[in-house]
Amino acid sequence: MEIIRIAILGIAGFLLAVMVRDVRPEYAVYISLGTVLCIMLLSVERLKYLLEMLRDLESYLPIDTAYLHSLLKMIGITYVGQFSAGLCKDAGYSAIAGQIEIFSRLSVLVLSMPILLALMETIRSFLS
Amino acid sequence: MEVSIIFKIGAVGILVSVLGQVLKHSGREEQAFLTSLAGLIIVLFWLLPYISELFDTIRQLFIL
Repeated sequence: MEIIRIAILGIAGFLLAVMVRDVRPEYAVYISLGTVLCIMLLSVERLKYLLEMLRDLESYLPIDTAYLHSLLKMIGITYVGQFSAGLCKDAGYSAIAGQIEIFSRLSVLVLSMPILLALMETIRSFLS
Repeated sequence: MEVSIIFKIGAVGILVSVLGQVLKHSGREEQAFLTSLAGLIIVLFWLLPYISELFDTIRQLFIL
């Protein structure tokens, strides 16, 4: 099944990287980058299908699309941030990875502020 | 083309390291460095289109 293919791909990638590491350390990082890219390209295909389904679901939900769009943005930001932070950690530069993670968290917070304000407005309208 | 890129990078890595050793032992230090640089550039040329394609699809997907 598909998951077995991905697992074998990952194992082949890291075995090759380990083999090349003691001879050429920088190529181990390139091989891990190549493997991560391959797996991510395959998972992006599935993500596309899921997002089509989400758009169909949108018609049933009474929520307006602005919130769903910012939700999608948040998922995208965490997805890319986690990808690059993981790569930096793999290469041994966890300081850079930490900065990327902090930046992605902050940008998600910035995106969630309007939603929080809208919530406060609705609460105040109930109370007053 | 998807999976074979990993093995191509590995092949370039091994080839460059072998060439580097041979050149180093035969006294040509700069050529060894140049071959590793050439290997680096080749691998980057292979990986860059994949990275840009990935980020383009993510941008369209998540309306970033």
